[in-house]
Amino acid sequence: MHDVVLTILPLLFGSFLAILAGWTRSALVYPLGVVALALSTGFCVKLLLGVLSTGTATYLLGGWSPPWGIVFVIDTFSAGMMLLISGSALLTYLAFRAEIIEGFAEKTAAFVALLLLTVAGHMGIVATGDLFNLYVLIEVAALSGYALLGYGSGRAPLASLNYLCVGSVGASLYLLGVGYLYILTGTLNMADLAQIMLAAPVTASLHGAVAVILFGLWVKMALFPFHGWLPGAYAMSSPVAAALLAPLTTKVMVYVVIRLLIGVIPGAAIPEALPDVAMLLGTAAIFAGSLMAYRQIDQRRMIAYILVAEVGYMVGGMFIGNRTAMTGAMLHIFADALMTLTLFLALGSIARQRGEMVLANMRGLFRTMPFTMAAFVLGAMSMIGVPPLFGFFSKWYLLSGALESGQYLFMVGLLVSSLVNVVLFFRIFETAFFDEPGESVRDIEHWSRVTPLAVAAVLLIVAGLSSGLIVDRLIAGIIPASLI
Amino acid sequence: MYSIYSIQPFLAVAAPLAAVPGILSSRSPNIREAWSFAAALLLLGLVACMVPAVVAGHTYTWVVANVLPGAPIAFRVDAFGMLFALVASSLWVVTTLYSIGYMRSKNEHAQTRFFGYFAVSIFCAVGVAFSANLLTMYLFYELLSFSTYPLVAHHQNEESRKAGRKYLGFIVGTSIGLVLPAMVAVHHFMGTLDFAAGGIPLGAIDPTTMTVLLCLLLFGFAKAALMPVHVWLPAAMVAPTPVSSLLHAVAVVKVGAFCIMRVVTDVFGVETLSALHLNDVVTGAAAVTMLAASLIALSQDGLKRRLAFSTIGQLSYIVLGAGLVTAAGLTGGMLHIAMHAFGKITLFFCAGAIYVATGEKYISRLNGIGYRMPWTMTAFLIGSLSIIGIPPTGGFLSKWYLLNGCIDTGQWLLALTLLASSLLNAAYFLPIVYRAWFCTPDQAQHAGPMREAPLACIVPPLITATITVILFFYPYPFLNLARLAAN
Repeated sequence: MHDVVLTILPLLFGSFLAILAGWTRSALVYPLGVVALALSTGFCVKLLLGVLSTGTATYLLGGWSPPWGIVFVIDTFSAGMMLLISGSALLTYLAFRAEIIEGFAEKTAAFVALLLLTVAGHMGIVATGDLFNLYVLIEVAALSGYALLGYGSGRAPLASLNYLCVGSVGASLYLLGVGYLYILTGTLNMADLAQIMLAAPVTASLHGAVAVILFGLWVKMALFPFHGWLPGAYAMSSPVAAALLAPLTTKVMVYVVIRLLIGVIPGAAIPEALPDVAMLLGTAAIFAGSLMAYRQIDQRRMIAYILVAEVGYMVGGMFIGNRTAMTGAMLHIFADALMTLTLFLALGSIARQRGEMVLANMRGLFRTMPFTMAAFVLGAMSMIGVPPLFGFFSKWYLLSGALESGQYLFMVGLLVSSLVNVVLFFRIFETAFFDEPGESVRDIEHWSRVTPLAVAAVLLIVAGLSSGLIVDRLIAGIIPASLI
Repeated sequence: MYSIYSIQPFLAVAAPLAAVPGILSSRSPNIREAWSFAAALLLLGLVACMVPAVVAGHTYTWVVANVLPGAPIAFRVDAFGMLFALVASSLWVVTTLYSIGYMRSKNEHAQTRFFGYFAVSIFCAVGVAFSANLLTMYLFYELLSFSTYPLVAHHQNEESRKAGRKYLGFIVGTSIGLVLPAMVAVHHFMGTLDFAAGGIPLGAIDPTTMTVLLCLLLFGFAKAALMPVHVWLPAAMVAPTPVSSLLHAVAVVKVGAFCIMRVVTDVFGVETLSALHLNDVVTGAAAVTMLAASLIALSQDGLKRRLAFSTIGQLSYIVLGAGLVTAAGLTGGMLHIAMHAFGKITLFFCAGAIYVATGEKYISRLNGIGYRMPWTMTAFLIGSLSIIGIPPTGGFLSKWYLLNGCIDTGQWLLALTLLASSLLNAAYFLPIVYRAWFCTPDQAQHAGPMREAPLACIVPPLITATITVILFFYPYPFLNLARLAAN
């Protein structure tokens, strides 16, 4: 199965070629990125179809067999994630053509190269079957991500530096935990590790290793109260970087934790109190995220805080400890990524016309940018959880799973955050609907921006209607039968 | 009695939606309204096509997507759903005509948006009628809430902004806060959300949980405007009158009552509810709302506000019918969906016609209006008689069945409440009629000669008023469907 490597290779080559082109033929830089991302997306589709028909694919890099060689393992869930990452990156890249070409002057080539590199990193995180490679790829994705987020005016570099400091702490903790596990088991290969840990005696050091790993990943995914880096990073940076990374980074980290929970770390190795702590933090994240989102003036920042709450959804879902809730957490990765993408693409288009994303700048948008606002409404409805949009169905599984295990506070959190989202988004809709746009407003909706946005928005409906299929084909087979 | 697997329900539901691109892209208002008419007639035709089979006891089903285990997005046309769809689709045709007259006479802005969202709202209402399970019903219920918001807030001024907030706050707040968790719980306990005649078997869920679930669903469907979640309805009267007439007398509010009826008959099941005596919760809430709303209506001077409180009272008749859990009571409740719709839409049409012709909104300023607008006020009289329940109008029949339902079960208190409410209805409607015709020349604020509203505003109320009378003598499609559904 070379398809696995083929999904990532175009991005790495593209990244390299973009730098070269930057020195010689700068007009080629942007199209190179399009080609790389389109190729990658195409191979992801092929990979997904292949995995759906023939089952889990394993690729040994250089032919070295595990547990020593580098190994990529792709099942249906990770193939879905790969497609999600490359597809959403492609849509972002297409939508922000103008910003990428004009916005960064002579640094465009570097921007494109970093962008392709971070996408490759995120895809590698999903694909790898090795804990140490996972660390390396987390750093690849993160370091290029910090640089991308640093592009931008005003406080963007500072916010990115803040993210770098916190993110490095998270990654270091993860590495520390992996080190402990290596000492305890002598292996880093996930499948191998799962076998050994199942037989290994449960000791305090094992518990410690697992706790440190999870703690590190929580920092990386911005779980409350380690969320401090997220709003700044996604609200201060250029809209391109925000729209690229906001749907991906936290979701990919959630993916990693789910991968470890259902495929690597056996239940006994998880410290007894940890699920309770996770539930508590997840629930707290929902309430705190919603409350802080309510208090924001900048609307991009507002959505960033909604993301903090959404991380709470997923962490809660995966630690409730039943099949329904785990399904919900896994489905919500896709749903949250897609609706965040839609909202950030729409806000990006609006910001280009109106500048700063405060409410006062959103007057009369329904009249001047009807298509962009229609897509924004769909994204918002999905965040609120209105059927048949995607966000409703993952929320349903989470609610249902919480009820099954008697996690009533978490249920209340989910409902409250939905209601707060109604208020948050209708604040925007009211302003955009009732208030007159100023005399000087000359909004332009160009098809090249509207099309990628429309694709993302329509996907919310299509994916919602096919959520039964997604759960059946991509998710249900991945959750171990022992989880009921 | 068999089930027909056919795409027809899906086509019927989608018919109004098909008009939306046409409405939005039309160059001239006439073409735009032609799209509305075409879609309305198409919808009516598709719905009417299914009537014979449904009256014969068959059902149509169609699965759109298997989204959740035990809860697909699916349509099922049974007698009760057909009754509501028939009411909504036939009145959409009349209302389209009325909207054209009203919106053009008032020279309203954003008429394209208005007609577009109107079509979407009807799509949602028919979707609710044809839903096969609670999830599908919730889906269309939610979509209806959001798609009517731009209609309620049509005027885009400070008042409509406030009304819009109240509208969404109550309706979406209750549906997400109350209905959603109840639905998740029902799915958790039963594994399915399908509507089934038996409902939840006795003992499957413990009585306390059942009580909580019933209350969540009863007040969660706030479109039925049971007190205390009725506040949005009077506020929503800031909308243009065609919206008030079709949506806030027929489609939206009836969707709420329809949902409650569905929940009682096909989710909980009448046997289970009456065995646990939970139907008393339903009738209690209905009785309180009925009397309180009628009393408040007495003191309202705004014509549309008085009509709104009257609607709140009348909706609880339907809920009362659901709570009676006898064949007669259920028949009465279901029949009242149709009877009240035709009566109340007539009244709203008249209120709008008066506003178009004279600009008057308050009852105290209608002295002598009967001489100036005799046709309108005649239609108003017939509509009032139907709401009060005086023969020969359709409203008499549904009240008759409801009263029978009360007496069958020996609930004399409820029977008295019904009668008292009818008296109150008379007390708040007849003075308007009296004022219109019988006042001394020096009191008269309006006088002849006849200067009616434009024809497009006069013909619709006359049509619906005529139907109201016809329904007394020939109630069969609705009565048959209601009887079929109640048994």
